[in-house]
Amino acid sequence: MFSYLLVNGMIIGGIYGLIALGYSLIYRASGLMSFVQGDIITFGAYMGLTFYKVLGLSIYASLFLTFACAFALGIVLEKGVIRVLLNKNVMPIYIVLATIAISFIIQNAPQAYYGTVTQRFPQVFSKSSITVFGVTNQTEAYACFVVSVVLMFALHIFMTKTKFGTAMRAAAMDPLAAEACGINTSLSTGVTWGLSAGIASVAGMLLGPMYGVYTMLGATLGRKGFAGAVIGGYGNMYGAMLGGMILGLVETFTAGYWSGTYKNFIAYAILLLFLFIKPTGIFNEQAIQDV
Amino acid sequence: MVNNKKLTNALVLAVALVALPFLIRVINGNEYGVMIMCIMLVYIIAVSGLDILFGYSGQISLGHAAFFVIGAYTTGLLNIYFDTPLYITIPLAAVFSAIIGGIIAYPASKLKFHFLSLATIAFGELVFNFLYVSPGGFTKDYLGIQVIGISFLTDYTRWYFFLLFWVTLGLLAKHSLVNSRTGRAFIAIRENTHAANGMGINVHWNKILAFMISAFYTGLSGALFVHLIKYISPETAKQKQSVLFLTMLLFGGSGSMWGPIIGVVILEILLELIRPFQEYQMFFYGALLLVVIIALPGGIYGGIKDALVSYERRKMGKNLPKSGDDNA
Amino acid sequence: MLRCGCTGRGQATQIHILKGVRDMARKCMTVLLVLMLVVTMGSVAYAAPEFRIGTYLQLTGSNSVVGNSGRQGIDLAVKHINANGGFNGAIVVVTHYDTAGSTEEAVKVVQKMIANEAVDAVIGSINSNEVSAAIPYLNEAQIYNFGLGTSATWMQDTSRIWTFRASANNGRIAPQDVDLILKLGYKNVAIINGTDDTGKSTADAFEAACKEKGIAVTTRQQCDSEDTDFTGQILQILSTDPDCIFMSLIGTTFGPFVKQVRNMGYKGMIGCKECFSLEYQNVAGAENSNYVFYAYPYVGYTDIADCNIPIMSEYLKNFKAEFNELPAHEGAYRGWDTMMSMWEAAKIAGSNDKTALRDAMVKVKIAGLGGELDFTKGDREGYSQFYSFVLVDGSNYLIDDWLAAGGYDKYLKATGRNR
Repeated sequence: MFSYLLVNGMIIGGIYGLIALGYSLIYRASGLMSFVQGDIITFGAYMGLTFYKVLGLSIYASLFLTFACAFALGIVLEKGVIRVLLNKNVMPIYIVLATIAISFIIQNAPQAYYGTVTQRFPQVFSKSSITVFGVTNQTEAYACFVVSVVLMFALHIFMTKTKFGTAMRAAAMDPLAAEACGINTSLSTGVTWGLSAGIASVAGMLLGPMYGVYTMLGATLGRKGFAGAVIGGYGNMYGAMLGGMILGLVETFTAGYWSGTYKNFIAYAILLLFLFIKPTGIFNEQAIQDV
Repeated sequence: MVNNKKLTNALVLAVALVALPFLIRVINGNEYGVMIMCIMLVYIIAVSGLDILFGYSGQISLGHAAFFVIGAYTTGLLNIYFDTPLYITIPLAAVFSAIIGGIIAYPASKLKFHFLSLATIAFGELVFNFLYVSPGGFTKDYLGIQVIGISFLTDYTRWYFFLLFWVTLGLLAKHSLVNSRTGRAFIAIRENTHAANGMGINVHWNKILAFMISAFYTGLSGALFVHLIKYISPETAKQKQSVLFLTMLLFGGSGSMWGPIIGVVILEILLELIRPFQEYQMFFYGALLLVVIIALPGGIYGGIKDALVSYERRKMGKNLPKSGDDNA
Repeated sequence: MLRCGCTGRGQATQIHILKGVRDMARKCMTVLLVLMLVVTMGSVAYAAPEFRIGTYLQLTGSNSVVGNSGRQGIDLAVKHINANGGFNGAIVVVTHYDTAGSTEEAVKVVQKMIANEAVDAVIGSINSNEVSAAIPYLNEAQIYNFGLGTSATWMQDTSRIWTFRASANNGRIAPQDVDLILKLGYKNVAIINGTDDTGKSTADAFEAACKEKGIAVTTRQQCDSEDTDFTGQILQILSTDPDCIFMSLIGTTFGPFVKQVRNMGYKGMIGCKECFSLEYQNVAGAENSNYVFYAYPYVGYTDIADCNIPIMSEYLKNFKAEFNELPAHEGAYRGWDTMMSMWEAAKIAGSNDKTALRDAMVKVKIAGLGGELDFTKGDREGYSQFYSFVLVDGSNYLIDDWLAAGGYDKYLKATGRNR
């Protein structure tokens, strides 16, 4: 029983972490908060479905194309919406609201083509389930976990060790100074949004075979991802992962040893507690300052 | 002269407001439009409350629907369980909502913009979850609560005047608040927290106060709403309703007396207009929202003002040599 | 806020512009607002012989497939009725409203329909919480109305004489589910339910029936309707080693739950509060959906040829011709049955007066898609007898046929279970 809770808690935690990664990345690289990340999961799931099931492409091609589409979407969002608003020097709330508007659009657009039926996403792996440490799960569930851990390391290395990553961080810290140093801040923030959208779309494609594809797939997960990012320390890659894990484990253990009824209540209570008591998160990310 | 004009304007406005429900009843042959206007009036109170928080003290809330729902449930449950008369429960609901607002604001007002919005979202979700699976089911959980109406308000036209009274009162109170010492302190905090602190304003306390006043307005609005519609469910506490309030505020323009009114009226009408789109109405709502945010970030009122400024300027520019001095 | 770019212009000009602009802006705003108000509020009153039906259905958001299917069923029926003379000669006109899954929106929509006085009848949501919320107002306004949900809750109040139902009542199905469990020879059952109206109330009815009929409930777990991971609940269920599991869930939670419970090693029979639709099977996976049993008026079909009930197969043909697909959800059957019951009442009443229609309902007895729709008992409900099915290899078998054909032994052999 314990091992099942642990493993499955970590898997769902990995998904939260993957979403939290996207939030952290955007915050780290552009100092902004996007509320659309959860729905890009939905977008990714529907794109994956289109490529894999409808067009019958191979899984790798679909994965790549989904990532590319989401990447493009991210850049379009940044250039077409966020940048426009930033250039108009509007209050930050307009950016928040714009991302919420986009999430309404993503939640309701797929209905035009796919209708409201939960779509089946065909199995990606030939083996439908595998057993790890005596815990049997759908293969995609483990894949999801592996992908999220790999992405976390890759992103961290990208952000700290590569030139482009450093440029992205510089652009977030002080756009003007970064611009003066010859950094193309417009490009770097665009890439950031593209990357985080890409990550979310990959998560969506992996979730499709597990939960089916429907319009509200990412909405709840997106909010949980927020909680994960805050718990870990907003803007920190490892923190995002750890925060997601903690949230996943707490939820699963609550449901396993107590009751599933108060699962969500507890998740949001933890988010509030962290915001109030330790807003810098476990990794003590200094992004959140007191006034 | 100016005073006279103001007086005339106010009179015209008053007559128009009194005549409007009857006009709509005559045009429509029923009270449908009046009911929507009642909902608008209720929302104006809530959005004005949000304006005090966001427009004047510069704090964001993406969970304001929670206060709306707290107000609604407080009056509803008190009435259901203890049979308390409504003239006690409705003010009590607003006060209770303000107290909860204060409790949340005490830690929350220290948070920076984005994280305050996160905290308020989480607060909204918490309130929803609490009401949805309450201990012992005292909130009737998923069923929501059915509440009695106010006895002497037998039709929507009466409701309209009743609500109009409260809106006027609320707006007058807001007007005097904004122009008071406290209101100026709010604005100082909005413009520059550190400077405000330097001027001797107790920033933390004033932020909490703004939260409480705002929650009071929104709670009152919720309490009135629940007796108007006679029903409330936990779902209202979720993000969608909060976003609606914020959208209304930003649509109209924040930090003003007219902004919330314009925002509420236009958005409610828009929501009515997109109803025929059925399953695509939320899609259109999102698309419309996005277009307005990008095209008119100052809200509708601000947008129209900007457009007129440039028009006048162009006209002025043409006529400048001739009419340069004669406008004193 | 307003900045004048040209420095050569005098202060007075600026003030003048500002003042003028403010006045102009106010005037424009007022004109705009009044125009919009008049345009929106001014609706045309109809006088033609029409029978107007308003519906409140969830057409967007999670689980909205149910509402959309219901809408299809209603639209198809209306087309059929209008082609065959309408309601006593009056053409039936339906207006659909989206509730987006919110009970409050449902109430608002219904209040608007009432205030508008433009509806002769109202057909209610497939989501029972919306029906629960809306029907007090419909009854207060004395509007002839039907609910499409299956929860027992909103029909319990006998004073709601204006509300009828032509779909199944989960409160009546639940005892039959318990009978099924008895028939299979089981002694105990574990329950998982959603915290929504139908999920909770059906589980309550089921638990009560279990108590009455001597079946032990090993544990009862709850989940949220938006949950995707049920590990905790499943482990608690499996730790009690139940003979079978009963699911009282909603929409998107069915598929993942069944898939996860199978992955975690449970191979036994699973009871379901409604028919385990194709949509759920797709998500759960075909091999995981085996041995799900339920009592229900009807089932979903992937192929018209699979259907051997004449009335249903004709309906499916019409449906396919109209929408070029088979119903995605059994909500489409509920919509059709509801309209047919109303039509029959109109024929019996001989008039479209709401009181006459209401009073005629007690005489309605027609063949519905899921068996006999019999309102003559006076409890305002159509269905009281339900078929019992078991899902094996993607096909729904009547459980008696399946047992008679030795299906249960095959099940024991295939799963290696002893019960």
